[in-house]
Amino acid sequence: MDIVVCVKQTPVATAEKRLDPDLLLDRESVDNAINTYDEPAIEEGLRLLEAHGGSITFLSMGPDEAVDSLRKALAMAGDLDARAVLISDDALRGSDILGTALALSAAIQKLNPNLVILGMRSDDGGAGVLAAAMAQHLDLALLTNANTVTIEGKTVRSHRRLSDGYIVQESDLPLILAVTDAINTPRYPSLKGIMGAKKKPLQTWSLEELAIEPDRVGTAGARTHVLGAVAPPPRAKGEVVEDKGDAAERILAFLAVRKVV
Amino acid sequence: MQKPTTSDIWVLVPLEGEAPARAGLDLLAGARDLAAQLGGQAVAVIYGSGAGAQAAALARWGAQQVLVCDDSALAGAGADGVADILGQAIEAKGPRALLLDAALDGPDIAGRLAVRLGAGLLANATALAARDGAVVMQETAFDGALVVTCAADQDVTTIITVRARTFEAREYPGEVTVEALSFAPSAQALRVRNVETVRQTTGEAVPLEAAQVIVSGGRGMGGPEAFGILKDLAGALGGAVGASRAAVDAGWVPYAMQVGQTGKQVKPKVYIACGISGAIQHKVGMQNSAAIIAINKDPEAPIFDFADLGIVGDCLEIVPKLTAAVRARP
Amino acid sequence: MAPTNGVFGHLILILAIVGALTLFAQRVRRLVRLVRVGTAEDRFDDMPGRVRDLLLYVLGQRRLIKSPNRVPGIIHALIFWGFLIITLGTLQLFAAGLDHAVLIPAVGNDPVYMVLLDLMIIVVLAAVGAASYRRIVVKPYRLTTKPDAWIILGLITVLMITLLFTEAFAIVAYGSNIAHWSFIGYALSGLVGGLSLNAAANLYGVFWWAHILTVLGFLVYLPSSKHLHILTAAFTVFFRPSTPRGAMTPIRDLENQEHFGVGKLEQFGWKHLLDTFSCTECGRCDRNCPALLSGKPLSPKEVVLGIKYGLFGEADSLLAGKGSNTDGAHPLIGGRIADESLWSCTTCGWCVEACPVFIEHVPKILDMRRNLVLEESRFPAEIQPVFANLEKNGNPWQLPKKQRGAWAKDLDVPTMAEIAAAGERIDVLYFVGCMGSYDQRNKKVAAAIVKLLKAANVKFAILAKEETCNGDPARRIGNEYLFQSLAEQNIQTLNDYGVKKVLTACAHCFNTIKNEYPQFGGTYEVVHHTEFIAELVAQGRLTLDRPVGDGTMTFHDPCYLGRYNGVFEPQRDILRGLPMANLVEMERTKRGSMCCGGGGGRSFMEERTGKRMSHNRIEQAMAVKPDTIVAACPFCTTMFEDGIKGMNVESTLKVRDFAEVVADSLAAPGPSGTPCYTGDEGRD
Repeated sequence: MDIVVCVKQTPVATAEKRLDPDLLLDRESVDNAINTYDEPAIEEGLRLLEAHGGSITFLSMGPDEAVDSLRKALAMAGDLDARAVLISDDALRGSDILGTALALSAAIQKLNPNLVILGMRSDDGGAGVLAAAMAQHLDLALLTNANTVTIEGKTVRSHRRLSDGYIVQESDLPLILAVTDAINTPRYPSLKGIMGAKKKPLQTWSLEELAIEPDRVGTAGARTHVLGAVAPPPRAKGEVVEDKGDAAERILAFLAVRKVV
Repeated sequence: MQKPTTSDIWVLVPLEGEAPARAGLDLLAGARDLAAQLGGQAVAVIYGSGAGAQAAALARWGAQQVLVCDDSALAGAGADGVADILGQAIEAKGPRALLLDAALDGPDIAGRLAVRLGAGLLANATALAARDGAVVMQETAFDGALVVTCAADQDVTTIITVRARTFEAREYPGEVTVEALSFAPSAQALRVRNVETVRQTTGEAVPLEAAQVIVSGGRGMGGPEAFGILKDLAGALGGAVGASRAAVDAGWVPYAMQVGQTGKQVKPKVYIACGISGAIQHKVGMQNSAAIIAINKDPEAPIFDFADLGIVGDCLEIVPKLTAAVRARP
Repeated sequence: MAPTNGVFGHLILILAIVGALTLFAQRVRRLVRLVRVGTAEDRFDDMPGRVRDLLLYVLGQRRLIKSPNRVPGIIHALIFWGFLIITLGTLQLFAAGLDHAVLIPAVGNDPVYMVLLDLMIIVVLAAVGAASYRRIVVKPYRLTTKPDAWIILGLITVLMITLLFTEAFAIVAYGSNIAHWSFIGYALSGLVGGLSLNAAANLYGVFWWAHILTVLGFLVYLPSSKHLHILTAAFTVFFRPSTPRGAMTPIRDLENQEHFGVGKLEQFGWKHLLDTFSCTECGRCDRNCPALLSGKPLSPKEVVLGIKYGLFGEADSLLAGKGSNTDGAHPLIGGRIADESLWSCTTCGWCVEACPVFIEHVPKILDMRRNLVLEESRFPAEIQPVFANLEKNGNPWQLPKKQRGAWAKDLDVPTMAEIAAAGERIDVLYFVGCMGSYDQRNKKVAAAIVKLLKAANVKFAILAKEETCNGDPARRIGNEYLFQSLAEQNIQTLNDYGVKKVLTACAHCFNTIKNEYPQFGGTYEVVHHTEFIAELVAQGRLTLDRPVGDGTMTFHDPCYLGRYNGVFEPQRDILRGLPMANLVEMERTKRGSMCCGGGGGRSFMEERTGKRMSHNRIEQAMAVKPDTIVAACPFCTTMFEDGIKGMNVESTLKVRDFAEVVADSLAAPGPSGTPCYTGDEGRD
């Protein structure tokens, strides 16, 4: 198997996020880590590799710091045959989802795997549309929300998670797989893995190497624009009241406002 | 790049069983407003076996036009197939925007369409409006740390996925024109086979990590029997039951229900904590809930420091009353 | 007069001695080679200290004669001292056998010695009787009596009996004007006096040879019995660690190590292998092990024996340089010692404290944990998010770094950054720790400390968001890499600010910053809040004269404050000195204090089997009927709060930190931002 796992570096959940004056994420100001939802994707890639043999490439698009997340993925790979590719170019700054999909798809075409794995969404964007956009670029079938995956020969079978069950889906390689957060428990890299990751091959590709015109990506190529961002107020102490027989009504009203009932 | 030739706002309305999905009807209301602001019409695209029968009824929910794809070829087609049909339809009719539900199939369809059409793509909208002729949306980023406002380019068709319950379905008077679409999905669009659907409706049907509503019990519940009232409430709200470590320690509920430091980390829309003090080991498992309600006899309980609504009272009395009130709602 | 008259007799004796010594030497050599299979360790420093401990603990039998287990300890000490005396007599017998005129000075034919010898023989026999009684009748839990034990007791008895009868028959056969000094032998000789001289001489010969051969046989048997400790105990005591007990050995040059921790027998340091030879299976280590006593699958004794049996079982392969577990069927971890055993340890150090021969149980367990974490990535699932959180957030939870100082926001507490910017100096840096910074219950303790420091006019500051976890949980779980990264961050910060004195309210922060940070260039004067508050009171900077509202108190000694670092008294002096204070002691107190169950990273792990460790300790507390358990470590406080609720005894028992009790006793109540803890505190 030739697997590519897409990895995104996102700010740590507890870090303070700010947009800089250009209304782009101020990445310098925060601690970064692998997108939480990509960890199960990496783990699934490694498990499939262990079961079927082959090689794995971790692919990311981002600024130079994104190399740290790629090294962490390589660390998880331990002794397995793994390498990493970072797509990095100033012109990519400010890319919307479609610009990202374009760049990643071009890189995947160059890598020519038979299986691409993504997480179900990212901590910062949360859109869940990237996989489909890439599937369209690459003209591949797409299995999303996969909660279990098995591969027999060329056939991939997944359980697509619903809120009240699942659909058993099948398709043939090559294809794209988007996995849920619950599909597995990502392994903790051993120290040997962490140390070994530094020696594994990591290439950086620019837009030129992908033959993408700069005006198709980045802020220039985006067809949607950020107008502004505000931080909602922190979780403060709410209202605390004593039950005078009216608690149920108060709670009901609270739920109704939030459209839970 | 797909340019709009009309100011129509399309809404994809899937079928749930035989009726149109509630999420689709919610979006129709939103589309109706948006279309009105932009000078176009709200168009519902309904597909699935038996869609034709539902088409005219959509007028009641705000559709001014309905496009129907009642094609047996779509049976078992999945998101790829629907995207293909929609793509052909949009290319033919040039709407301003297409709204889709942000759950499950919506993003899959949206991603394919945006690339195929060279359209703009906005995802996970929690608010949507027209401003100076442009479609403007809000989304939350970083698990709620930022609320970002985005706009789509005006000269490009925009595909938008919208979070559930951003709009509420409304009833409208009026008639509707129904048109049957004769597009068929290409072979490539049918590469994914839906083999079978398995529904898990017994017991804890809603997995804790995915539940939108969690009703959780701690030491204050007093015993395992009391968890029955939490189960009732969770059932009434379509949610799941969780527990603090104290309840698990006491052997009242299984470890699989534990929320907290050494249990599950959850992020529901609403977390109702009953008889839970809110110590850090528990807090770290649920503090990212969109809203937290706490019911506890102890006014000094730490949970009141960060709950949105804190009730100082006896959860054993309050919860059954709440369940009854929820069930009584139309 | 010796039964080796003539060449023949001498020849037999010499052959026997040479034969036994040769066998003995071969077996000892094998043991030494086995020890050398272990990795290099420097245990040759601090010679004076080592000699001193040899005298105190081996010659002085110090750990044996302390309680608990005082009676069996005394029995052993008597056997030990008895044998020291008796051995001289045995040597005399051998010497006389070779040349019957030889008399060892002060031994041979020396009246004082003769009395002492017989006395000691009786003492030893009595002790053997008592030991047998314990094994047959009393049968204490920790004592597993295997056949080996009976062999030893039997051999000792034989040696004593043969010695006595040798004396008796010699007296009958040959007589002597000093015979009466061997008073027992002399009395015995009266009993057998009716024999003919010839018979007596023959019997003398029989018993003499019996004794000699038993001694030689014992010598040869020794290396394969648990009695081996008589050879090796002196060495295991002598080679005890010279570094503070609370300091784990650092792994230097992590980047370039091939292995981490111990995954195979041959990866243990040589002293750890030697340790296993000295184990007599006495079970003192097990006696107060909080894991064992709460039904967890951990017995420190079995860990040591697991390594020992592995060592002996695979000796051939190890000595041939082929390593251990060559067939893959006997892994050290997961085979000889279960993963779960290793994870059950709280590193409380009772086992290490109790062992009379200074076996180091905890370092072995921690070495194996390091292997599991750093090489195998094999550890309880609930630990993974703890590691991730420590890496990303500097605390074991999902709480933001920048909120670390938020607990102090209304308390007017300066940060080091502010102090440095203003060019001021501080008396002490208060290292708050994760619990004090983020945990609702322990924030109250931090506030109490602030109140005390201000009342005493101490110039202090906190690091707030520049502070990160001290790293103890990571290190004790085995993640040396994560620990070093956390420690280095803190040390960098402390050094950049030129901090000299550090105050902590957590026993773990205290131990790690004091004993482990120097390993990485962080050397400060570190005080625990118990010591510091006591200092302030002694200097008259704190007046405590409001009556204590906590009723009868009992102090629980945190493992890392007491057993590891010897701080027992300052807190008791203060507590006793508070007005209306009534302080009672639990049975297991001070060095014998039993762990709350929170150390060794265990407060972040689930207890999946047996009883909660904290419940055991709470029961021990309740036995002395206190109203309040006074703790001095946030882990203890948390474990007890949870335990008290779990046991449904909130109405009769509460937990308070030492600082809270003292703060409430402050003469002049400061602007009270801290509500007094009512005892009703919700804790899940």
